[in-house]
Amino acid sequence: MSSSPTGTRKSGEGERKKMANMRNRDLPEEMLVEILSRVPVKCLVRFRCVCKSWYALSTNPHFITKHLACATSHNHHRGAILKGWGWDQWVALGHLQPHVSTLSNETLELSGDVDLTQLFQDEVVRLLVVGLCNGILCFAGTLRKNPKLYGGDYDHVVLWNPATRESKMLPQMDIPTSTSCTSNFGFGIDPKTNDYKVVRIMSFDSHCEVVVYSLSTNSWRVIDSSPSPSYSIDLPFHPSYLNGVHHWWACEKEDEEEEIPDNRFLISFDMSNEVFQEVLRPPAVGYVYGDIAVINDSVTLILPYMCDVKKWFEIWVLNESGVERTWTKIFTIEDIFHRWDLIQLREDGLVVLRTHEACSLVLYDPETQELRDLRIYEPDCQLVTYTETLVSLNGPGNLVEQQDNS
Amino acid sequence: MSSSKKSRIVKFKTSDDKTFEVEEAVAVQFETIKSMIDYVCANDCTIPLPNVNAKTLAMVVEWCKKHADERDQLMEVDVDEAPGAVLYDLLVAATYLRVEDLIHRVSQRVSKMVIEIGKLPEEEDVRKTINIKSDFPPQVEEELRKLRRTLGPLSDVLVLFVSSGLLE
Repeated sequence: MSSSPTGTRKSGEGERKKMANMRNRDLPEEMLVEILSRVPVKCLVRFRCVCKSWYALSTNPHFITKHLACATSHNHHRGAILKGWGWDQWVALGHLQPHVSTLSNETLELSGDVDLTQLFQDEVVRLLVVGLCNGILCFAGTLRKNPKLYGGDYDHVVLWNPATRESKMLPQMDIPTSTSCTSNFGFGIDPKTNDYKVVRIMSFDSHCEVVVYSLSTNSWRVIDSSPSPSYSIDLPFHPSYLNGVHHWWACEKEDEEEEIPDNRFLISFDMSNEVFQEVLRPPAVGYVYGDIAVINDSVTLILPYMCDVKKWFEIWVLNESGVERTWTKIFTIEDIFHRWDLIQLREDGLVVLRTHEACSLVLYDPETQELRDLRIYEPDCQLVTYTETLVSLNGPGNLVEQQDNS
Repeated sequence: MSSSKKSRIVKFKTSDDKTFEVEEAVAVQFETIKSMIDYVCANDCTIPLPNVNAKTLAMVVEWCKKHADERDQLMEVDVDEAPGAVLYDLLVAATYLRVEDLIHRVSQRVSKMVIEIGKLPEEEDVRKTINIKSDFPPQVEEELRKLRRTLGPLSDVLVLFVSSGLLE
């Protein structure tokens, strides 16, 4: 039945024979755990149907934690590409439904196409990945049936594990329809309790209210801490959670109105203490807005500069060794046509750009300035790299076990 | 501690009753016995290894002697070509002695075989290959068979079974 070439098929059979050889002896659980924690999620999900004990193992919270640690350190990473996320008119008119496909970071092959309607159990017109942690994507969306929110607030939040296809819609909140509210979101794990949390900052005309959702209780609660109501906070475009802290760009609303670019700063939210803080002021001046991202376990700034039809990006990282925190420029992405956008900074130093002309995505090497067409045409999309994990959103495994780092 | 300059020897007795002399520099990489080396050397004891044979211990010792960069090569030669039974012995030994790096490398290697098994089209083929029998209740098994072509991932069906208490 297999259509694979004889070569790979043969070697596949060889591999299986060796395994059969091993299985003729009893494999202690300890060894089975070591082996299976290095197997990709897709395969483990299949094995759930083989026998009870394998099912039990792959849904066991200890095993899920062990697998997560292995997956994180051994690059079981994939890109998730969210298409049609904010193209309001088109989506609202029903021409486009938000979809997610998977882009292999190695082969650059695009696969799968998940209609996100099923996650929201309703038609979605605007959608954004607002966070990413341990293989779980956090989406904020607006439903078609709430047209008053188009171009305004997001009212639905969904957590999704693309590897296991498990999702969870967070409980709805009652916000008086008469008030105008814009929300911002952050997502991550509280390292003290190992509970996943979503933080929602709701800005009303003259005040701010912050609510925190926790997966273990599956409920929202109001917290005391909030950023100053005079702040305008940018929605995250790149995942910007790191080590228990979510980060955003912000500025004073007054400065935003007067388009003063240099007064922008960063704020962070600590998932454990549940407090907001201002982060060390970004370094350079003169850039036109910027993005924040987390790359290779560092908070990273993507600062665009423009001159005539040329554009360049400076990439700065926050060094947090010891007490001193400093910003260091690590590289510059030169000579980009000014209407091209930066979609993703990859861990390997390559970047994904979107060309203005065809809205096609290209992989760009800032060092050699080589371009490679990814043959993906999306006027509006988000691309994030996630780790394939077994982290469960509904089962008892949704609490990640305390990791033993000793 | 007078002979601290001189490398000490740690003696092992393998499961096939062979005595093995291992240099201290290698033996300290066995987490399990690391803390007892002083005692063993002072009292001239032999450490029994009831589930590690001489051939496997030789492989583990050779692995520990190599530098990290040479280990890659050793893995390719000795382990990649090693039949499953050798890998099994090696993993048992590495786990028993707690040589973390070796556990990782062998597990990594075996996981490749497991991935190949995961590519088999039928669950029954998977079971046959690794010589295990389905222990799902017959009605679950039947449902699986019925639903496998109409529904998506089988695991979804199983989640339903679990939530309905059928699998407990």
